[in-house]
Amino acid sequence: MNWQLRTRAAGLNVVIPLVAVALALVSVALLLVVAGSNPFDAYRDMWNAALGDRFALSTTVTKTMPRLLAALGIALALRAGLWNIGAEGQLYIGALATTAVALHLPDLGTPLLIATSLGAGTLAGAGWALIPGVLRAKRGVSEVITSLMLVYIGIQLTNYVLEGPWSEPGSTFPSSPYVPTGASLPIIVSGTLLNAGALVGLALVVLAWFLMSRSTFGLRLNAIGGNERAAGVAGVRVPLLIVLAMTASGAFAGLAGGLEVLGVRGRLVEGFSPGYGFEAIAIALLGRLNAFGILGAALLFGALDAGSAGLQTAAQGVPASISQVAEGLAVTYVLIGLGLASILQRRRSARAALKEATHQPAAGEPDVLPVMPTESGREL
Amino acid sequence: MSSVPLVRLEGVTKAYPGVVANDDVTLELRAGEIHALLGENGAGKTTLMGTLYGLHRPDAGSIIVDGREAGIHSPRDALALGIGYVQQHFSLIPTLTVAENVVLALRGSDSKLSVRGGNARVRELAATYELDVDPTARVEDLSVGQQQRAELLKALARETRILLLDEPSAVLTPQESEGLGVVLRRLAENGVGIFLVSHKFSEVLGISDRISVLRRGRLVGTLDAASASRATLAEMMVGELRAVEARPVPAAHHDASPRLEVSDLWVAAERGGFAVKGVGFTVNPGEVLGVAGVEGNGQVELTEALAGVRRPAGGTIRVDGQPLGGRSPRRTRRLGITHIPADRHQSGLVASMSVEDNLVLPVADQSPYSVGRVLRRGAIRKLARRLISEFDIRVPGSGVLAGALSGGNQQKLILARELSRRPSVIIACYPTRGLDFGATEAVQQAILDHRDEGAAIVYVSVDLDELLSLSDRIIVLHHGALQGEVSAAVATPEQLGLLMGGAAAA
Amino acid sequence: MNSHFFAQLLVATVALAAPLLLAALGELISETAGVINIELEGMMLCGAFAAVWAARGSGSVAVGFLAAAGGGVFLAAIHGALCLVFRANQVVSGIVLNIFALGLTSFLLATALGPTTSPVATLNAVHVPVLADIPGIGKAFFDQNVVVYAAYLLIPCIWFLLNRSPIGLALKAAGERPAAAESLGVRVTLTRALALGACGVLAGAGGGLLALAAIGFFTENMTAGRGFIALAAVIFGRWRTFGTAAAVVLFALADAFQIRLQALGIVHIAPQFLVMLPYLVTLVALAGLMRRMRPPSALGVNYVSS
Repeated sequence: MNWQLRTRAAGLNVVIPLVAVALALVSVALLLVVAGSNPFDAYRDMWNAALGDRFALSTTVTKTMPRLLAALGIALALRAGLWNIGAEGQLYIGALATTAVALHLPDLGTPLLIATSLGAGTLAGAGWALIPGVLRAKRGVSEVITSLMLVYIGIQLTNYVLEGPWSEPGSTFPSSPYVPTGASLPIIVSGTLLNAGALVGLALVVLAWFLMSRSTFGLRLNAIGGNERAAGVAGVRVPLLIVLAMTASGAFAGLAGGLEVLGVRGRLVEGFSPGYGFEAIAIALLGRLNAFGILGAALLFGALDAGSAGLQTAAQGVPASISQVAEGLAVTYVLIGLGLASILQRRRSARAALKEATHQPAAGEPDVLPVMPTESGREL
Repeated sequence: MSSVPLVRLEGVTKAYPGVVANDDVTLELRAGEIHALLGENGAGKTTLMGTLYGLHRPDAGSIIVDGREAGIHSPRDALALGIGYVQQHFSLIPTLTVAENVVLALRGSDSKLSVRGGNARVRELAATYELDVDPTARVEDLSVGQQQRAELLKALARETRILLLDEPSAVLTPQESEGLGVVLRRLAENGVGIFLVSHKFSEVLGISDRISVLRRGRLVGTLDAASASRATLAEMMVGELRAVEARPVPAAHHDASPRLEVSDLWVAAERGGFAVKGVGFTVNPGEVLGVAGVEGNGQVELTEALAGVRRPAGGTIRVDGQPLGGRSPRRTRRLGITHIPADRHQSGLVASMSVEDNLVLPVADQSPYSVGRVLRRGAIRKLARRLISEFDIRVPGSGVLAGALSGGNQQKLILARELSRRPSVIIACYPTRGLDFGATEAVQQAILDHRDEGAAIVYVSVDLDELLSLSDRIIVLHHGALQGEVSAAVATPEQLGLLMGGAAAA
Repeated sequence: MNSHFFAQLLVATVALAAPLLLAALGELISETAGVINIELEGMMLCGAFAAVWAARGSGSVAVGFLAAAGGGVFLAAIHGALCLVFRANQVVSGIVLNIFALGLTSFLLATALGPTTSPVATLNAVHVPVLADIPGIGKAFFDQNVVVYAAYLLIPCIWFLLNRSPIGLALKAAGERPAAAESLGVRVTLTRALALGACGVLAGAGGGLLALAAIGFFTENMTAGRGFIALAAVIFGRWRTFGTAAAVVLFALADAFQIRLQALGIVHIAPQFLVMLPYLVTLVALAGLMRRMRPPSALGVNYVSS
């Protein structure tokens, strides 16, 4: 009986996000009709810009990467019940550190320079997330607000460096000098935007999957996320693991920032992230905290972004912001779907219990109650 | 007494997943009577009171107040009918003062007060009923006994006609309980009908007018207190009289050096002060040391300090001569201490993880369950299968979520995890709480088996009969201090009761 | 720097603080009842958009403000539906609604409002005779628009509401011990919904004030993080009314200082550090003073009555 329930719940983890995305696209279409645009034209243009050809696909993948990496990190921390809502700041700090190393150690030689720069970005992101991690583990301060505060501190710090020490007279928009060509990630399919960062991204999906589902680390994170106190009683070193989970989470986001600099822009530009770190939270949820689910959700967001950027160039009066509307609606519908599923589940088990009241189960029958499992036990 | 009962519960049925908490219960409460609801833990007493108070709706049956069908859908409806409920976990807001809590409780009623008016009204009520509480004190700064008085004041301020009290003496010393009895009697004389929920017949016999006994959700019967005896009540509660267990023969390890030595142990309380004050004892291999005390007198803090979950503020703990200290459940486990925590939901298991993941959690980094940092599912499943059959956990498969198990099976799951490591010291805190007879016996037997193999056992319970039948020696905690130590072979419940109330050992 | 500089700084601080104050007081009410609104930023943004849109349509500033409140309530209602009905996590809902609000207002700006139109009518300053002419402080305190005065007058009102009225006790109970509150007869979900609604009204009005105080335009993402500053102010103010108000004024002062310095071309203090000040001091406060910082126990925790 129970494996059926598990399957049904696992099915819900796929069905709810898919239905939600479909509903979101329909809703946006309706919005476009109200605004006097033809939604079919808009969606066709978006499709072409996001998935139409190899170049479009490479745009989508490029736009997917930072969201994907940040979301994997967020999911990892969420397994332990930790809300790293500061990925946006970790992304900026990671990009800043990567740029700094790439600019100041140009003599390292290509592979070493790239590795060192990205390593610096990863460490910087991890360090930025270490602060809320330690505060949570040692002082019990909720990581939600501290990591959020660190977003804006990180962005302002980046702005300061770009407008102060690194500012170049005459440049119209605050940005760093370009990194040396030796530090740029190679394009792996010529004629497209697809750079080596995509391979790193794929590898990290597998790494995240392994960490979350197949490692002792992941098992302990799940235990902390499910019941911090019981995990401690069972011998899990909770404070240490909280710090580790947060830093690992920040490392993913920091690397995302580094890859964005070396792979996409070639330099650090003020405000380069339009909120990747925040969207990543939505992506982690849409992907139901599963590494491959997150890959799918990140690709969707990347495609919406690439597609809506195409809309602007097609200049047919549909603003690019519809991608954000679609993203917001998709996750809103997911939240409604999950809420409905759990309410229905509760009703069903209550009914089952009442039925049981009228006839007692046979002796020896295992008394197991239907409970809807989520991937990690987190309430999302 | 008037012919129309104050409250009539008719055919009330309430089912929860896996358990029928109330099954067709029909009961009456008259004005001016104290009506005890007696039953073991899990008999459905609290559920019945919750239904009457509108905390949940019955699946079937009706509630009749003053002869009229009362649609009680929420506590608001209950309050409007003059029903007051002093729950086991108080419904006070800790950050507000006593008076503010009373004002909040009166919000929307006819006798509502301003925030400032609350102090005077509370002082007046406290004087009338001789309930000593400072209206301006924050609830979180009060002792448990004072908090209970604040709860009563709240009910009094609302001019409650129907008062529900859930295990009011669980948090009180015997002397405080007596004081409470006086107040309740006075209320009853003024015409208030009182439902008094308890699982102890001694307190019920002394104070109530009538006694209703619940067993496994069903009403067994209602008696006049005057005509009830302990024996009949016990039989009604339990079904058949439990065969008195032969007192276990103390195992023959007593001349060995102690396994567990605790001296001058101090543990800080959550909110200032100390929960455990200079407690010291030893436990030999093959010995059960019972820990008695009114709930909340430092038992949980003591066991958590022994298990390394809580950092002691002072003193020493030695296991086989090895000192232990600080806060590290991990190190404690390595020294062979195992811990069956007081609250299995909060501290025992991770409900959202599977049975097998719960079982492997403390040993996940050991061979054969993982290599490097990679989990080996095959080995883990094998471990789970072995423990499930060894401890008779009723579960269809090891991939089922732990939260889906019944209470008894959850406790067996914890025991399986904790005892499978052949511990040398077992710290068990309320290990049989809320379990049915079968599960209780299985849990006790598993622990006794380990005693026979030479483990030293610290066994905490509020149930004196359980302690007397399992322990070799019993220590009594009162306000965190060691009140006395007695040999279980010669101790009586009365003697322990006095010690629990703070009387010095004879 | 002379007295003129300080007078201008004061004027700017009082004006900059007002929209933050509205949003922060709203958030304080909501958090007291146990609901956290990461989407406070989105509420302000919706309020600002609705204000300009309605003021354009009606030609009336008052209608603009009503719509602003409505814009905030719109987002609060979605948050309430997600968290109070469908029991979604409040942080997730808040983050997602920020994305949604930014997308929606930008979309509507491009489609319904049109980006390049003339400004709508704005609020006039109410010049209090005599007092406004007090040198140094007169202009700051007695020559502002009516909504600014209202924002400051709200401080004692909300203090009274939270600390001296039975409603305040109910809000605290819902945010501190929802289960206990329910058994006291407090309808926790309703109480939280109303607190959330109040937050929507105030944050929306705060957004409206941003748009209608002087400029009369709506621009994409025009709140630029003010919602998060208001959120920080509630925390830095330790969930107390006057504390929150003081935090808002401090943050506004830092902002005004930064703007004045930039305007004067003074560069020896990097403005970015003044911009990050609210976040930095809040972080430090959380890190260092946690023992004295006690958020409502059930903040962000959904309550499910059985």
